[in-house]
Amino acid sequence: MRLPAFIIPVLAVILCVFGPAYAHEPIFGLGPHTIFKGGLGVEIEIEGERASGAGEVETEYVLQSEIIYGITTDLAATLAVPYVIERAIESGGVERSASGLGDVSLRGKYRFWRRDAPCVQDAAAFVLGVKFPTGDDDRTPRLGSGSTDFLFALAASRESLKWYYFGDIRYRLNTKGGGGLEKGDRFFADLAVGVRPTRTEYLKPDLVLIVELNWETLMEDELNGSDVGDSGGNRLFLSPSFFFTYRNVAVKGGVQVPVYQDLNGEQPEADYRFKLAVEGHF
Amino acid sequence: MRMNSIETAFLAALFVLAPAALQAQIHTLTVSVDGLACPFCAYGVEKKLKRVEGVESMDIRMNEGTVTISAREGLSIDIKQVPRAIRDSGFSMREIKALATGVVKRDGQGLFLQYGGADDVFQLRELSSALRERLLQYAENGETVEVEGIVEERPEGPWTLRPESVEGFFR
Repeated sequence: MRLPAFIIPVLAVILCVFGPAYAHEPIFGLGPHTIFKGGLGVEIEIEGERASGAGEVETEYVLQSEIIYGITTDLAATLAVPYVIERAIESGGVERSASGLGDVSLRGKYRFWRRDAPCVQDAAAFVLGVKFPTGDDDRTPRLGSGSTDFLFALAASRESLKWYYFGDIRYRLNTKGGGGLEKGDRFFADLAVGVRPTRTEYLKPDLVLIVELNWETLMEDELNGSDVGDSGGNRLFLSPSFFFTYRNVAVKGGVQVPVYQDLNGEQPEADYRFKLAVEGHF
Repeated sequence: MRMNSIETAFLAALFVLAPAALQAQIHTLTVSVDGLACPFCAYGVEKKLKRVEGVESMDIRMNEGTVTISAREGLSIDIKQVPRAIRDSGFSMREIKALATGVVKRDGQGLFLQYGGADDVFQLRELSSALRERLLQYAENGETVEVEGIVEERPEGPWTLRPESVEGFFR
């Protein structure tokens, strides 16, 4: 059967992912999980973060809804629609805030390798993503980057009844947005270990505790072709998180605590980030 | 010869129970599934297997890596849909054990268990000479038998069944 020509670019766009949104995976990192063929996943998550320093305090709370669809057993697509509840910057006693639709992303994941053994699954996947400039970038603070950005990632895991191991690398390619600003590209590397304190059975509550290490390298921003000195740097987060499930419903969450930050120039440093999500598979 | 009341009750019970017990069908499948490591992901197995014809219920055992599937009353589980259901749920099937009722048929040197329509047939394999003799006897008498054993998927022709236990109803 020949596919119509338009399918190829459509699939290329669908084969994209920006963040983790699948089943038993790290909360802040990425895993190779996909959903079963024809399966539909719905996730609602709330994310927050606070950064302070250089005379500023930045806070952000985002409500994100995601729909995941299993095109095949090994290929899943996700549409993520963020709504910025509040993005605020306080500087010199003046606070500016904005809320509204953020940047919508279409993302997907292809699990190219899987090895099953009794009660153990090893897997690896690549992920590609595109984020569209749907958030308003004329407001202060901006709700979107104003640019179409891309992400490429590779993730692998080993899961067993007792232990979970995850690792991934991600690269986010940012393009020029509104006002001549091009945010620097970002490189991420994540490691995670999870443990199930009590072995469980299907149709019983299941808890997995996870500890993640999340590395971020931020390249310098460019404004009208010139480097922005107060941008870019490196960060390492330690992230305790949990994953609680019952049958086809999951509640998961975690907190990112910075353990190392080396940012260029004068920039607010991350104080914390958190994420709490409810996910259902149907 | 007059029957006493116990004999009468026994025969009556036999007539009532016999149709259900003797119906040719696959009653139960125990599927060994590799890769089952998370209950949340195992939901896909439930979802896919529930769509298999004849399935009434299932018991997913995470710690054993098995799924036991029971047939709907009066129906046979369509075993040929099971491997695909497991694949589509994102896991690997290692082995299927079936408990089936049917009649033994002979075709040349081969022995078969017919557990439903003309296409619902297992080729019986790896038979000891004693078991083969018993099965030939069942075939000659047209007796209904209950067989439990390991099923092997074949790309063409009937799937095979290696019996672990065989029981005839009217020896």
